[in-house]
Amino acid sequence: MASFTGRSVISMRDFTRDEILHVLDVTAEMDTHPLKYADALKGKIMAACFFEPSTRTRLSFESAMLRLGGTVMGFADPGGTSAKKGESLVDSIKIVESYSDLIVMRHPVAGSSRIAAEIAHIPILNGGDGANQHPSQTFLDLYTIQKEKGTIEGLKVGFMGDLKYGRTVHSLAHALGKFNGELYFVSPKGLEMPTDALEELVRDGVRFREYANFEDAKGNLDILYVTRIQRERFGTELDYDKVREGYNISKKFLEGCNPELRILHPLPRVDELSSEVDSTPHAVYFRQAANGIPTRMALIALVMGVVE
Amino acid sequence: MTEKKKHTRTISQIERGTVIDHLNPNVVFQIVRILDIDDDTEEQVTVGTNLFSKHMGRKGIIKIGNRFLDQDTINKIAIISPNATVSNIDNYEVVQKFNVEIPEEVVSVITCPNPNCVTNSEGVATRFRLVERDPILMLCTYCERYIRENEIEIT
Repeated sequence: MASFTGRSVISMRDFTRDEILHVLDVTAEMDTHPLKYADALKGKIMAACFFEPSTRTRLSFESAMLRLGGTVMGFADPGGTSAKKGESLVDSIKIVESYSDLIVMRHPVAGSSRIAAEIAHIPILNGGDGANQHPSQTFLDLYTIQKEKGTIEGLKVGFMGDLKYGRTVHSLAHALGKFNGELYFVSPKGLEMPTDALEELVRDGVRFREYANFEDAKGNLDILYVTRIQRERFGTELDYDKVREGYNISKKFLEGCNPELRILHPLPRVDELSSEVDSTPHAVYFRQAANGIPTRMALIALVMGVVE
Repeated sequence: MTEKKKHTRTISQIERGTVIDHLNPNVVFQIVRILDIDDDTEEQVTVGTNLFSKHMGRKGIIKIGNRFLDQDTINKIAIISPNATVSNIDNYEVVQKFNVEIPEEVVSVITCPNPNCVTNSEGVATRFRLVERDPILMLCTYCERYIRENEIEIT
């Protein structure tokens, strides 16, 4: 396995099966013994460059860096920065890299993190590049599954909601495919998994099925990954309301499910996941959000050479 | 005169230069543009399209005097006409003949059709990884969008 030191984290496509497992091992170590690493990055600075706002991703990366003993600086949206004045991304990265030891960035343009990583001499962590990748989210999803089920190998995983635009779904499905997962896709008409993503799963030999509703699929799932269905994806309010009714996870909806089913959601949620589910043993989405910290600590620690 | 001879005489020979044969007849003039051949070209150039081909049915052919192709140009031809052959001619003899081949990584040849791809806003070279040869499927290294044959636009 290639060393992680100095490496950038841009896309799940860059990681082999063994490398993914290694990141999960280091995440478990950060989760179990966080204090052991409390001074690991003392004197190091992380630049958080958010060319597009994302409070959750930014705060959890910043928290992770602070917990490793480092300091953070940056901006939460591009207003007032040189980018707003028309500076190229390439120039912005060249400047910021001279101020810091690693950069976490979010940018609305797909591929911007890859460009940044090619230019910069310090590690770049992709906190989301347009509709493309958000690898730290995928790692924290995988870690959550591993922590809840003891493994990420050979699980039956359902994906439900907006599967067309949900980049977290595409990345996670692709990653689980490397671990012999059996995938079930349930989505409203028009929001199905894109053909490209399905064809990629076929090429990789991943087993999957598509369903129009959850009733046929829910009996033997180990994991259900729910994503938000956005109102603006529908032509009329009526269309949205019609779809919403069929895509709401409630206590009643969960009758007949595997008692060991665990439900994940990248959050924020709206109507697709009722708050009455929160108190059931199925709900792990808040723990999932909390797992963002050890996951991001692990990614930072790995690329900064704190751990091998 | 046999049927075959009638057809091979359609196009004259060149003394020295390149023959690009077995071109998809629908892209011949696109390749003329890639080769940067225009009214100012002083070399001998022959462009044929919709010619009879035993294997292809119809084909295109381009002959250019005193010019040999660089790898970038060959890669461009390979992407839009994957069955093309290139022959280098000297003294009316074929000194080298090869099939074009799409490289595993295609750099600076294709425009990414994704308007939100960073290569369309930052002016950096495009890079695609070849996923499948037939039909062509490529993955943009930057925005990670798949592109198919009908979306290919040469830069």
